[in-house]
Amino acid sequence: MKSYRKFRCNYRSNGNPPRSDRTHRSKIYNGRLSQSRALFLLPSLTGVSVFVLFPFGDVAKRSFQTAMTKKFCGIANYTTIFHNQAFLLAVTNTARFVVVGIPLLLVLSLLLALMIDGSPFVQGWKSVYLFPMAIPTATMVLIWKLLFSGNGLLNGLLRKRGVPPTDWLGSDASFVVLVFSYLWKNMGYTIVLWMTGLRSVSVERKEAAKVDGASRLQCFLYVVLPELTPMVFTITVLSFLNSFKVFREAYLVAGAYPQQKMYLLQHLFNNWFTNLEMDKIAAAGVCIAAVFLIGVFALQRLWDRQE
Amino acid sequence: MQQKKKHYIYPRFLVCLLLFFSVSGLMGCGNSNKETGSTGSNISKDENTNNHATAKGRYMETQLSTPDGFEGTGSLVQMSDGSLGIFDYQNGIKYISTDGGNDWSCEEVTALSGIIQSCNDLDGAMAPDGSIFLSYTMWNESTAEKLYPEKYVYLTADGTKQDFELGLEDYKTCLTQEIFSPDGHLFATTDYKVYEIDVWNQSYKLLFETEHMDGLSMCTSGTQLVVLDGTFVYFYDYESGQLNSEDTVLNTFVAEQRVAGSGIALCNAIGEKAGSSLYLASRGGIYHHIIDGSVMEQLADGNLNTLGDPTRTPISLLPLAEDTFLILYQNGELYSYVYDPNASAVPEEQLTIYGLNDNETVRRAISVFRREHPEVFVRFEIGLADENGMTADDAIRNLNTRLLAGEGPDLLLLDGMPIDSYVEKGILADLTSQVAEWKTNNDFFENILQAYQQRNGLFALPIRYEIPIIAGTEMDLKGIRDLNSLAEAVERIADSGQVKWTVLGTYTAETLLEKLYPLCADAWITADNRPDEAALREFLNDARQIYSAEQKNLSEERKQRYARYMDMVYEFYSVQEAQRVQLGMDTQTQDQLLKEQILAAGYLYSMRDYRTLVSVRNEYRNNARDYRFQVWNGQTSNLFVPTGVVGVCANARNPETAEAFLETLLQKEVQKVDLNDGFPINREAFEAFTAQPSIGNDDYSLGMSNEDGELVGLEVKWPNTEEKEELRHLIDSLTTPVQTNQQIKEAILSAGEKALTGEKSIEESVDEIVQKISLQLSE
Amino acid sequence: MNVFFLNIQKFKQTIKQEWNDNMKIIPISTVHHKAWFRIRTFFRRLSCNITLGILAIPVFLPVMMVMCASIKSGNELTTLLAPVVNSGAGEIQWNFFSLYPTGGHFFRLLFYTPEFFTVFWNSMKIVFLILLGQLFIGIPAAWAFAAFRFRGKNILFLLYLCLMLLPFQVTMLPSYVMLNSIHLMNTQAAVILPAVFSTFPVFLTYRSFCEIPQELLEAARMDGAGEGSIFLALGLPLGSGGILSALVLGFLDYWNMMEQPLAFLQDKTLWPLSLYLPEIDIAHAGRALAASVITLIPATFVFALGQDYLEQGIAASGIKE
Repeated sequence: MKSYRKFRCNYRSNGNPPRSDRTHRSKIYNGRLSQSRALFLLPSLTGVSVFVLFPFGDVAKRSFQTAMTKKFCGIANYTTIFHNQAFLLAVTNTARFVVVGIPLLLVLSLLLALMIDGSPFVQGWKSVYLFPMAIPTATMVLIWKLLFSGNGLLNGLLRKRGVPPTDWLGSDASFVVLVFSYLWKNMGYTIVLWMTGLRSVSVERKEAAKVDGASRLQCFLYVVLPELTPMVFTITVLSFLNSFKVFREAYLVAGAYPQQKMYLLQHLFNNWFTNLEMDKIAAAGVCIAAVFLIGVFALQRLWDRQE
Repeated sequence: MQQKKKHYIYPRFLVCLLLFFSVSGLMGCGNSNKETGSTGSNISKDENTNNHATAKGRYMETQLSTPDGFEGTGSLVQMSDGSLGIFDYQNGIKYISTDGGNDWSCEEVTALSGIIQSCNDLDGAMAPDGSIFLSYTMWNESTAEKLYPEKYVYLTADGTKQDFELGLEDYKTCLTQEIFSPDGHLFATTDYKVYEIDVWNQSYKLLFETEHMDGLSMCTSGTQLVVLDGTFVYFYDYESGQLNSEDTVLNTFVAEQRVAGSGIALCNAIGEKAGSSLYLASRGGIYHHIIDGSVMEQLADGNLNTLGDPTRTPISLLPLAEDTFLILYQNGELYSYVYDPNASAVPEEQLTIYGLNDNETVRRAISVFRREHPEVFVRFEIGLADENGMTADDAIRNLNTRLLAGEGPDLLLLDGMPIDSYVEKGILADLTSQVAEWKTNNDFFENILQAYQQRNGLFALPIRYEIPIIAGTEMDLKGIRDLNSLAEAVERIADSGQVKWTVLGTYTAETLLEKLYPLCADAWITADNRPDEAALREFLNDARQIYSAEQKNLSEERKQRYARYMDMVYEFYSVQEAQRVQLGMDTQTQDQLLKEQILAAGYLYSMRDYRTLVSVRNEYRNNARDYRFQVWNGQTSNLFVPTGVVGVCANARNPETAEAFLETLLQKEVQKVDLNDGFPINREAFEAFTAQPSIGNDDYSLGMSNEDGELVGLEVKWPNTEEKEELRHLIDSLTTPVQTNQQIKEAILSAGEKALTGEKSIEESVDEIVQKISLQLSE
Repeated sequence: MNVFFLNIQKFKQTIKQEWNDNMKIIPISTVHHKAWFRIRTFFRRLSCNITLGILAIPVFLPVMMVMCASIKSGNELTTLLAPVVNSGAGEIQWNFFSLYPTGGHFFRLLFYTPEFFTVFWNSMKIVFLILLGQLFIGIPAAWAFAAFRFRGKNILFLLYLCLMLLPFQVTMLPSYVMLNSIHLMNTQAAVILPAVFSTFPVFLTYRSFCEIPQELLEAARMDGAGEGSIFLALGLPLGSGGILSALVLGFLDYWNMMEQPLAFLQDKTLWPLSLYLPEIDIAHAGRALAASVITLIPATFVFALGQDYLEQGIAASGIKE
């Protein structure tokens, strides 16, 4: 028992042992994977190479070729897409959606998680908020149409209150619909993630802070929040992933050419595919992957530095 | 510890729920075989052909020779002495074959010839023992009317004749079908009722009533009488008197066949399966079905034989042995189908055509092509076969993936696809040289055939087309040249007070835009590939003008009634058919005659539409009112709507076969048949196309009445030579194909609707549409 | 080895105890005895609950709509949905309480539509196989990333992460070509295999494996345990929270997966449930809604079950000083 206590005290939440141990370890294991260890990674690596990396490599290759004749054409495709109005519009919309949606989701769900944490009906609230995630897309399409069309329920409600109705799907308000759909679907899950994070905050430190006379707000800002930071990285990545799933609903509700503000990158990809513009898809795909790489790299650096 | 309890109640409840569904799921699995897929519509089923190349066993079709004068009336009967018999009740001839259908001897039934020559409404049946039953009505020369009640004759095999009348309940009814069961019962049907007739006691008994009356056909199975009324299949056990029509799988199948326009012939199974299963023949092939079972088992694929030909309807099916069938067709052809276990399941060489929707002309061409090239299996793949989560765009994307991966089809039916992109990307082969060659052997309407000619070649050929027509009195049509003038005219007429309901027959903004869209869509993109705002604004303004004018005289109640009527139409027909019903000149002109609308504006789909049009014109002229029709122009003029644009894929596996098929599509044999999907592109075929068909299109008089009780009569006569010449002249004047950009059509229509109903201003809608078009163009 | 396992047990015990300690609700009143403080907390709690309730309405409303709609009779549905399809037909209205509630849609769906079962079990089969595959392939990979140190680990992991984020259309064509060349096209394997090798579960479980102290692993290694036994005895139990969350999320994801089956499965009998739900048109609205409700159920079930383990696992692995 004693030896474990000692180790536990030295343990920090980022999983890396203190410096001295690191050098000690490196003397025993020389940083290369031994046979049995490689076995852990190998199946995944082969599968990923075959099913993910290889297609992506093919995409990268296509980005330097013309669509049908496969002639090498340098960076012509890249220059084309950067001058392509539709591409720029889609990128702007997607970026705007991500920049607005993700922080909004994180903050809102954190607030709600805090509120649920303190309430007695924890399970109930969580289930209520989680339900949307389980509903299949095709059904949602019908509901969104019922709610948001020109003569839909939402407009009916507004009309009763005397507010003039808005064309939700046909004007700039479509962005609101998109964000709402995204928040609605992912709120529950993000709340659960926050709550698990909140639970793992050590109670002793909170108690200590309270005894020291910190208000609830101060306690939250200076004790709870720092301990949640590793969670934030995971949640951001997951929310980012989920933001792409908004596309299918938007597509089924508003078609291939929706209102301008709703036109995301995937709409563009879809339409390019219908018109066989393979070279543009490839070039845009490579650009996006590059952006992701940089973004994730930066995020990881940021988080690790905060430790 | 209370928390722990809460934790565990939740999952337990859900476990139970899941168990319940698993149980019911297993129950469902138990019922349904692995072949559940085949309960879907089999006509356009996309069979998995990866296995077919190596699979063996197929029904081989052979045509059997039939004697001259054989017309295809009467059913195949298995006689008690083992021979086959057909009683042609229209001509009074009994055909007997002792060798399984190859040779037939004909014997005139002299005892009945007197009746047959002079009487009407002849229907008859032959029993396995050789006796014959005939029903007829006599014609009263003096009053020029039919004499009711119907009379009946029963002739036994040894010549004893009995005449009698029955006086069925409905006085003026005639029996439409009769059938003998193997044990000697006689069953007959009128429009809705099914009777059993006892010839010896000269009495009858009402067995049951059917709900519909489309395409009644009957057969017997064991002690059951099976009656098909186009929607339901009734099983009546004539010994116990029980009626059952709950075989859902069979009912669904039958309903699907009706929607697809296929006839059905059915018969009892033989041998040990007799009494518990049935065989059916329809356009999809020959099927075997265990009564109240859950599967329609396909034995022979309609795509591989005459059953798939839209011009052939099976009348009678008879199984001779376990793997042998005889099918009699409506045009008198008799085919036998024998199972050959060593033949490959499909012919070796394959040709694939892909289209988003079904096309009758293509199916006819497949039949014709197959006869000339029996070693080629032509597969018609339909992208949007069933209703499910796949949109047209999804189907196109899947097709594109296949094309790019080199797995694409040989021919494409390009309706609804982005033709321009395909041409640009070199997906389609250039057909200039082939067309030049074909022109030397055939005469085409070149203005239509080469409508898709581009600078660098000819890549797509229309195989049929529809003509937009607007018709009305001279006064009403005055000045209508294009969309603008149409709007003015409509408003003028609506204000004039002679309108009862609408001017053009459009009740909703949606239908109005559907009608106008093909006529104007081309004008919205300028030559240098940008959206033409002015043209769009003009379109929306005019459309709104027309819409408000149309709505002026409509009451809410009338609109709802019309909506309900349209719902019924869409339920009864397939989507394509329903559109034809709504927009065809047939309906339009009839409504015009009934004064429900002033101008008839729609499309000519077939000779039937044209026949109604000229008949209506004659009617007006007989009443000294000047009536005419002209090509309907919108913002573009001289349009035709292609219903079937075909192209050959550049990387097709068998380009020569593909081109041969395309040639077949354009040839007289295929083009001359009127399949209700457009006019022919082959000039020689035009003659045959416009010839009056022998069956079913006799001249008749139509009496119609509208809601006010006004009676209107219409003499429907086939167009004469002048009128046919007029049609030909009209076709020669058409120049531009309608290039509906399907991808963006829905977006534009929904935006446009809002402008029409006033939800949005014209400017806003124009902006919206311009945005969408620019978006598409800039991609 | 015995020492090793004994220590594991004790380690687990301490974790459990800490968990129980954390789970005890510490009433504020034991810290502050003032009555006004109690009132203040009461109001704060009340306002929290009210806000939660108000916000829950727009969240739960659509779900309620679906459930209610699925028990409405066919005629009611036609009247309700007509304005959606024909946009001229006036305002949409909605009643939550059906005038003629009927279980008919469910009944017909469950007992008269054999396609539904094919499709349902297709979904089950696909998702089950995917999750199984992910368990055997992705989890060990995550362990490798978390527990071992090797050259290029960071870059490889970043690559994994990026590839996870790419939208499907980008790699659709090359995937098709590749699947075609290994003759997997039009089989369910074409959907299952790429998903099995998805890097998503690797990412999720990596996080929770990271929380396991290296010292523990060190000690185990020094005690002579092989990598395999370390993984099975230490990694899996301690990281179970992460694994389960990956499985649960994976289930929800793949249960609703639409793009891949649409592109790779041409044979309609192989389609999963998510594609079967037709574009809800008026004629079949009842059936579609009933099918949606039934689709909901496994997902809810999985989530409800998984949730508990999720929390326990993740919380338990967050050991602090």
